[in-house]
Amino acid sequence: MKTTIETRDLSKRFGPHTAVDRITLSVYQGEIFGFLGANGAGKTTAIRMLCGLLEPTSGSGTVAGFDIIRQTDRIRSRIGYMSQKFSLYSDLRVIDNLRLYGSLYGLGKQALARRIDELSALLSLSPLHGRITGSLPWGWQQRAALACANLHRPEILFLDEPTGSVDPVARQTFWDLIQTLAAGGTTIFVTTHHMDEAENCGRISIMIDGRIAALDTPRALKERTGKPTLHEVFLHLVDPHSESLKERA
Amino acid sequence: MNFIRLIIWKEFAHIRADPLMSRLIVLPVLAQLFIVGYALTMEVKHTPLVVVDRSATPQSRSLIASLSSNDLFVYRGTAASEEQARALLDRGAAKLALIIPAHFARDIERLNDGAHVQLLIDGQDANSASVAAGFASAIISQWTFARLGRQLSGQGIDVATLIPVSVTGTVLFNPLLKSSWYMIPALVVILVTIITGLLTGFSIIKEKEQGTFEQLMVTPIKPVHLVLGKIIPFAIIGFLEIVVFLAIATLWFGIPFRGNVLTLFLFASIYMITSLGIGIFTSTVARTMQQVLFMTWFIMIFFILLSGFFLPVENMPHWVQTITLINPVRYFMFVVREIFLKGSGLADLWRQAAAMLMIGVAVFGLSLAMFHRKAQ
Amino acid sequence: MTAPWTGRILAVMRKEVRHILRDAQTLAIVIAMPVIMMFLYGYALTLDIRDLPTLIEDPAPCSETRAIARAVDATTMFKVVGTVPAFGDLIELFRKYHVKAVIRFPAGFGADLRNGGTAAPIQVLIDGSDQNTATIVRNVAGPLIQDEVLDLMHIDPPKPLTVDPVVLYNQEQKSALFFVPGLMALLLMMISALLTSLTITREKERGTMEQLLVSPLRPWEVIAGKIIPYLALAAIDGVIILVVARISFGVHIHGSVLFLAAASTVYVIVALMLGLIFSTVAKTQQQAMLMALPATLLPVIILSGFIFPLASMPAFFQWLSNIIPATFYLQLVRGIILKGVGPLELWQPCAALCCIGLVFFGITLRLYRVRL
Repeated sequence: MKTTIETRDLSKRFGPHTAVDRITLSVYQGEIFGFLGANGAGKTTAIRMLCGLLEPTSGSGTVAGFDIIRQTDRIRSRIGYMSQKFSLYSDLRVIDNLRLYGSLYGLGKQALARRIDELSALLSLSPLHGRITGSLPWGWQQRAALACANLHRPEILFLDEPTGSVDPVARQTFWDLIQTLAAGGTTIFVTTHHMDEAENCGRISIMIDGRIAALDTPRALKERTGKPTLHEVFLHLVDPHSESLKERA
Repeated sequence: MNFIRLIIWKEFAHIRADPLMSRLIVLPVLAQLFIVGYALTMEVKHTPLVVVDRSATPQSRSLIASLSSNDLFVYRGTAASEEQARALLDRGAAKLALIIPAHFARDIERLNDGAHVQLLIDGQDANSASVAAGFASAIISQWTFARLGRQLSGQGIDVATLIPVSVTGTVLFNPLLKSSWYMIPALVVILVTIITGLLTGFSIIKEKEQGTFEQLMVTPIKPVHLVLGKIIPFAIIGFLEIVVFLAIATLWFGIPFRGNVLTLFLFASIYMITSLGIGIFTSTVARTMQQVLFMTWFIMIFFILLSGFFLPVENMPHWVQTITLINPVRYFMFVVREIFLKGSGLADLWRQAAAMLMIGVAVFGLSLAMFHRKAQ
Repeated sequence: MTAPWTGRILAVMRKEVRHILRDAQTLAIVIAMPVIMMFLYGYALTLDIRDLPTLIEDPAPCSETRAIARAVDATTMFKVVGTVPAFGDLIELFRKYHVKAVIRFPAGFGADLRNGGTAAPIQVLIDGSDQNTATIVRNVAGPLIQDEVLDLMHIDPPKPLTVDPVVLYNQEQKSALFFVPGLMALLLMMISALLTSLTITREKERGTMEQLLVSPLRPWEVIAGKIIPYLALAAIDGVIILVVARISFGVHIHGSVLFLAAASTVYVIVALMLGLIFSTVAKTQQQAMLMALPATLLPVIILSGFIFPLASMPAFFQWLSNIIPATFYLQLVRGIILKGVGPLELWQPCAALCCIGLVFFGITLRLYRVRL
């Protein structure tokens, strides 16, 4: 299977503080990869390095086959990114945001129009095109952001805490959408601190204090640790007396 | 290139989306224009004058009449004593007090070292004080000279033989000495600076504060495209404001525009290189919008005070004048006034153009480089 | 036992102070601004006219005209930058040489003088663009040059009347004395109104304002806690101005320092309330800034009598200046510092300032009930 994301000993230090400590992983095409960890574990820093927003202190990685240090230009047109903070323009209409990002990714007028219709149908955004983005309920704003990240059919979608403070029902709907996208061949690299959502992922990794403490399918992790839910798996791993910490590299 | 056009479109969309902002860009400008046009004047008129006439003779009354009948003064009548006059000055009811001594009529007949009158001046407002006193002295001199002429011709002497040289003064370019002709053209400099300097910086820092900056950086767009795309709309608005400003200044206020509109635009463009550069600079160094505001305000006040807006650069000490050599506002201020009132062209002002260009390229280049480095 | 509301206000204050201290850049500017402006005004900005670039137009140079030119150059007002023979286009002369005055000798001037007759007048042509300078030059240049010329020719003109000027309150005519009150009015207004309006609007933008209002804090406690730190900051700036004025320029407060402090406090509170008013109307920081800047800068600089004399303005603007707090504060500060007068003489501006304060307070109260 083709790998779309690969890292080797990727690290990021901010002065004395090591935010990301030698992470090594591989993500396969079409996979839904859950990048888990508590707040402050270093998830956002790692994602930003993969997107080419932040330069690593050491280590290496490739995204969509291109080097994340020297070839960030090539990476940009092949990935989509939804940041933790909402980052569409709240004062503009939904359709304005869609057109803006589509054009930024180089979609021609007609291709853009078609793509907007496609994604709007999928995400039920069509009736909201004329609304001011900031006036929509939070869950719908996130959908609009997801659409904007997807217009150019990226190989990989980086989603940093996409479900934030959305209610459980909306969260489920969101994950249904993610799965539809993955079924279409897009690799999804998603971070979240909601452990229950992680069940939807093909494989997950758990970051603790900048290191990857565990990386496997949800089921394998549950079996190994003998815990029934990923939430408890996580708590178990964080426990300093746990042996699994020393096992995993 | 497409990227830049896209960002320009986005910026205009933002302005359209916020109607209050658009009104705020236009209305204060108009208000400033009207206030500066009508109120901003250093012309010293209607100075309240009080007189202590210890002489009470036809001569002293004639002297008083020469002042009281003049528009420049508001005659508040006579005070009984110098103490009373000083009390009036204390309260601010009068700004000038003329004290005519008791033996005025006798002394003034003498041709040499004749009478002395005292002029008490409220020195709080140093400028108005000296101008008002200057007017009073000039009027008194004229009265004296006319009187002398009559006196001497009565004796068959032509006063011109006693004073073989005379000096006349003529005012060019602004014969009515209207303050508005000097201040309104200068206002365009302030307007352009605020629009292109302050609003640009604000616009850029807003992206960072909102988080949309990061989102944009993940797309194929480069930081340079973003910056250029942001400054062009404000430059356009700046030019539009200049046009509106020109219309109002000439049609409503009757300020003469003796120069060439294209020359004005040329200099405005050169100036904008610097002001836009400052906008980029502040947005790079600052973290929040408040910081951008205070930094820009700080820089602007510094530059404007040392630009000759209120007070001529030539009056400043030499070391300060040297500092103003790198002040782009000084040159633009000078140039705008020359174009308006003297009709000067590029041939007369090429030195200023060169200076502004050099400063602009340096500031803009440095700011852009800093922005680029920080965005990586 | 302190009332619970003081504790709550203190909590808001503490948070605000932490905000202020964390923004080192803005704080540095707020503190540095008065010092720098003081120095600018004190050293750089003077109203004394001197070294006006002057050109001499002399069609027939001779020893007389050269001597006169030298005498003119020796005055502080004029600085001769060159001599040209007869130049046709006068306007072109000004345009090209960027001079402020041209002194033109009539043809045959020297010959006429030597023949014992009176010559045609020497013309002083003045660039009227800068109306203020031109007015002063026009009033002064003629007699000045004439005196120099007659002196050179050893002629004692008849002088039946001499005017002896006596400048009160500002004996040395130091510009610093003139500008310090205006500077205080400007800086205190800018800091108080700008900072408060931005701070509160920012909280509104971020949504943290709502949280404050939902808490047990009453609106007036929130407001009080927020503006007191800025009151302190403005006070610091005011003190800095006065200290620098005293040390560097010898500006002496002739009147009561206590009265000055009281007047300044009222003024700052009025300015703070103005800032509050802006913050209720503005939804974004950009709007707040675009509202606050012109509404504070313009009235203080132009309509308060700071630099531009009020008496010369059209009636409408003179009336307008009566609703601007800076106008009255300026009268108070000038009176106290320069003239040394007290509340008895200055009761009018005192009352006016307090009235304006009450009106602003009423507006603020109404707006806060309706909007926030």
